[in-house]
Amino acid sequence: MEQAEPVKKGGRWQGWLEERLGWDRLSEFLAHKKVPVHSGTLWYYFGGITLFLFGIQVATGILLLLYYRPTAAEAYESVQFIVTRVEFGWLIRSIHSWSANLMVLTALIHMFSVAFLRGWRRPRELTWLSGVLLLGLTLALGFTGYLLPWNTTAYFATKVGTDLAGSVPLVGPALARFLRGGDEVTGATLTRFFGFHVALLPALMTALLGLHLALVQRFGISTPPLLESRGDVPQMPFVPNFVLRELMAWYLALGALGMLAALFPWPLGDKADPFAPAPAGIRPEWYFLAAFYTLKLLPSRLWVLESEQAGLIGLGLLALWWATLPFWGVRPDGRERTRLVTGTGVLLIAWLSTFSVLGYIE
Amino acid sequence: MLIRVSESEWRAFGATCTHLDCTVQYRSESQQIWCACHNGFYDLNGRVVAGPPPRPLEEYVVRVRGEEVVIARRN
Repeated sequence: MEQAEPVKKGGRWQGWLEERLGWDRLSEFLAHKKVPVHSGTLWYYFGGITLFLFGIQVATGILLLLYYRPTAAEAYESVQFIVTRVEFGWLIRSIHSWSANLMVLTALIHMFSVAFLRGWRRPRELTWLSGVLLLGLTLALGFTGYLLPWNTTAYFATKVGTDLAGSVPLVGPALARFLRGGDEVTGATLTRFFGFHVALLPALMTALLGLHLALVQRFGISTPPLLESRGDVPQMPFVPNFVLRELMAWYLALGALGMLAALFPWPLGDKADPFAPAPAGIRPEWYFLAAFYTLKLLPSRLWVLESEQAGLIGLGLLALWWATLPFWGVRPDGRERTRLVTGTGVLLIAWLSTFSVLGYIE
Repeated sequence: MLIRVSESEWRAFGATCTHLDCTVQYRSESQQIWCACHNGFYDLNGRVVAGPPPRPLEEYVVRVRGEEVVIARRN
């Protein structure tokens, strides 16, 4: 009969764990993992900060679930109860809301830094694609979570967002009905969005995040091509040097988050009233402002398309163009289309920032 | 929404903006119907005056019978 090899190394528990988990192979892998050191190393921390904020979202989201009730009759009142009666409930809700916004911001910074530092080049195309999908899921989490307090702005934002989904060619009407749970935004929509927000989207996010991180491990952290061509780029060990620096970045992010959440508690607004008109000055969250302002500027008809169809198709094509960057960013002979990539990135940032500001001040 | 244009004339429209489904409101200073979501304007006949709405507001038939105002779908 075959017998297990006797434990040789370390103490009793270390040996026990090594035999069952193969810890030595992992520590061997980590000991050889390096991160390039150059003037753009700072940008490498933003992916990790986004991950940290996702962790904060999960933790504070679970705490909010202890009191939140996902029905049109009780949602607003349950959030009101959380922020007025539950011990530190206001802080937990404020952290959840601020962290969601900071997570979108750091994900955007991470995405643009990867684009400009050329981290999407072969063989990292799938890492880029999974990252863009993660940003899409983050925005979907933001959109579904926004409705949950059942306040006026959330109600109209959901009406607009789901109506826009109804303009998708062919499947639009069915999609809008599926999202709303009927023809109108009602309590049925709220219950659905709750399910998407706390179960479906986090599950997809966790799976995709696992793939994204596995791909980052598989191919290592990318060195910008200009530095790579010079050769001999200095490296720092992942453990402990980069990990400790990343932890400092998390600590700073936590400080900024705590300060924002405590000094500027997230407002609750008025309870949604389906019979009241949309209030003057209504606008979506900052990360949808550029799209919102673009839709505002479009004329009633653009060629044969109604404005919302034209807007949706335009924004959809723009997102698709950006998501497929690794496939058009390199010529068939392997040379990069540097100017096209940088130009597209700069134009995209210019559009996002100017239209967001205009959407905010108008 | 029900608007009394003059002593004897009433008009009724669906209050849903034809652009992206927000609920519109009457603006007395400009005597127009306005959607705050994307700044769409309609006149008091429900026709689009400015902004992105692609179609006029849905209009209803109004009949005044003594003290009662009866609103019905067209056709």
